Amino acid sequence: MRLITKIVFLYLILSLIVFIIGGIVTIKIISNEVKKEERWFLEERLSSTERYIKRRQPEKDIIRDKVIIKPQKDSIEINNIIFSDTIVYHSTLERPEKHNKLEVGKKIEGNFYKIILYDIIIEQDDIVDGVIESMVKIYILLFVVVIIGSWFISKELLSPFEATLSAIKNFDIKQNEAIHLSDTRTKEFKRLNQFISQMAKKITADYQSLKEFTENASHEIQTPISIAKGKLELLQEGVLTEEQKKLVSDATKSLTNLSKIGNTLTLLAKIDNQEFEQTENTNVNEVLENFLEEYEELILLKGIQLTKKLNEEVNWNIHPVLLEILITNLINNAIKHNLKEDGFIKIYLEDKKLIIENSGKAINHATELLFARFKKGNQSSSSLGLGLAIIHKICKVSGLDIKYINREQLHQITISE
Amino acid sequence: MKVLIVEDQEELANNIFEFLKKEGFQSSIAPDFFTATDKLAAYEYDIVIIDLMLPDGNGMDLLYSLRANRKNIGTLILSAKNSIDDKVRGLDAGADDYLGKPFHLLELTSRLKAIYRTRKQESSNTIELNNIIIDTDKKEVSVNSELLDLTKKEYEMLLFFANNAKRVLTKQNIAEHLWGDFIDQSDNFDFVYQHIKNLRKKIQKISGSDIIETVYGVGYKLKAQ
Repeated sequence: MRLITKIVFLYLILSLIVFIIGGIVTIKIISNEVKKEERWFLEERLSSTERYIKRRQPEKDIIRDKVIIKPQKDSIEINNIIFSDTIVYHSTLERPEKHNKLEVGKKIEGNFYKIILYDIIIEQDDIVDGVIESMVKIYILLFVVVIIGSWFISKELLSPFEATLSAIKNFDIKQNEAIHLSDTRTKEFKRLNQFISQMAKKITADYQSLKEFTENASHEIQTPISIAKGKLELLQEGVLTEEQKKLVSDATKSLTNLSKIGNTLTLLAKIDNQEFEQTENTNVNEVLENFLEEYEELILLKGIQLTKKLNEEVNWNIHPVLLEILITNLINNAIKHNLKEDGFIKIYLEDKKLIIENSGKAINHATELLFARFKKGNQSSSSLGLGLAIIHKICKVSGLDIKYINREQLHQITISE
Repeated sequence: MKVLIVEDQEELANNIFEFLKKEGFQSSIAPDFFTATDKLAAYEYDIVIIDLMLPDGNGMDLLYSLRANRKNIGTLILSAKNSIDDKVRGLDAGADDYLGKPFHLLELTSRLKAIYRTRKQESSNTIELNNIIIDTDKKEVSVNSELLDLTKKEYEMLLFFANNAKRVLTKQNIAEHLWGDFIDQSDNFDFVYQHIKNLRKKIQKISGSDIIETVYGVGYKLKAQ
C-alpha cells in the first residue's frame, strides 16, 4: 500500500470519529438553543394569555389547542413557572409529539388561575435528522476531496522522492559517474538526497579502488612470476643433472600454481564486482560440446571413461564467459578428483538440468564446506581448493541452483535454473 | 626472423631476448613507447612483441599505428591483463596473437613462428621434417605423400615439436601447451606418455621410423635429422 493511501485512510478514519462526536455535540447545542427559544416564546404567550384572562375573567376551564386555563377556587402558589416536556397529539402532524410545556399559577384581578401552555417550534427528530444528513454530506465531500486532492498533492509533494528513487535505480556503480539528484525545497528530501549522493560517491570510490586493486594486483604479481618462470626455462636449456632438472621443474610447477591462484582470486573478485552482470540466453549444449571437443582426448588419455547424454537442448540466462568457466571447472573437478583406475565421468543434459557424475574417493565430512574457498576434500592434495568456490559463486550470481550429492564412490553435481 | 621486444620489465625482456637468441632470432629490446616508435622507424622487423602497459603510453596505440602504417609487420600482444575482454580487444585491433602473463618462453617462440609463417606470403606454409610435411594452412600432415590421420591434439603436439626442433620438451611443457589452464599442476603428466605413444605409432606405421626421441627423466625431443 502506498504511503499516501495509508495516510489518507488513517485521516479519513480519524475524521469519521471527529464527525460522529461533532454530530452529537451539534445536536445537543441546537436542541438547547431551540429549547431556549421555545421557552421565550411560551413566556411571551403567557403574557398575552394573562391579558386575555384580564379581559374575560373566565370562570370555567378553557381548553384550547396548546392553551389550558383553569380558574382556581382556593389560593395557589403563584408565579412559579415550571418548564417540562410532555407528549401531546399534534393536530397538523397527526401524531403524538414531544412538546415544551409551561405550567404556572397566576393571580389576576383577585382570582387564581392555573395556566398551562405547550408548543413546539422544531421537533427533536428533525434536528437529529438534519444534523446527521449534513454531517454525512460533508463527510462524503471531505472523502472525495481528500482522495482526489491527495492524489494530486502526493504527485507534486513526492515528486522529488520519486526522482531520487529512479536516480538510485539507474545508478550504475560501474559507470563511474556521480549520481544526479534533482533539487528540492523539502527539508526531509534534501537530507535524503544529500545522504544518498554522499553514499554513492563513497561506494563508487570504494568500487573503483577495489577494481583497480584487483587489476593491479593481478598485473603486479604476474610480471615477476613471468620473469622467474623465464629464468627457470632458460636454466632448463643448459646442461643440468637429472636432480637439478627435477628441482627446476618443481619450481616451475609451484610458480604456475601461484599465478593460477592469483588469476582465480582475481576472477572471484571480478564476479563479486558484478563485472559479468549482463546475461543472455546461452545454449549449454553448444558450450559443452565445444569444451568436450577440446578436452575429450585428455579425459580419455587419463584413462577415464566418458559418457555423455546430451538429449535435450538446454538454455540458461547467464553471461557466456561465466558459463564457459563454470563448465571448465565442473569437468576439471570431475577429472581431478577421479579414481586412479576404472574412473568414469557421466554428463547428462535433461529436464533443463546439467548433471555431472563422476567416480572418486568418498568424502568423510560435511559436503557444504566444500564450496568454501581453499577447502578441499583431502587437505593433503595439492589442488588449490578454489574450483568449487568458483562454481558456487557463478551459480549464485547467475541464479542457478546447485546440488551436490556424494554416495560412497559416486559424486553427483546437478545444476538447474 | 627479426623481432622487436617492447617490454618495460627489463628482466622479462632479457629472458625473451636470451631465449630467442638461442632459437637463432635477431631481436632488440625497446623498454618504452618512445624507443619502440624510434626503432620501428629506423629498422625493419618481422614481428613486434608488445606489452600493453608501458611507462609512457599504451601498447594498444602502438598496435593501431602499426596496423595503419606497417601492415607487413606481425604483432603479438603480451599482457598481464589476462581477461577475455582484453584478448578480444587486442585481436580486434589487428594483433596476430595474444599471450597472457605468465607464459612459457617455449609457447612464445611457437606462436612467433606461427605468425611468421602466415605472414611470409611468398612461400607455402609448410614445415618439413625429413619425409614428414606439415601444412599449417590446411592443418594436415603427410608422410611420404600419404595423408596422416591425426587428432586435433596430436597435430598440435607434432607442430609444437616441429617449432621447437632442437629443444627437449618436458611432459609438463607439452601438457600445458595442449591444454593450457585446464592442466592441473598436481598431475603427474603420465597421460602425455600415452599421447606421444599414439603419435609415434601413427607416424611409424607409414614411415617405418620413429621421429621422437625419449630423453630419460626429462622429456622428449625430435630426433636429429
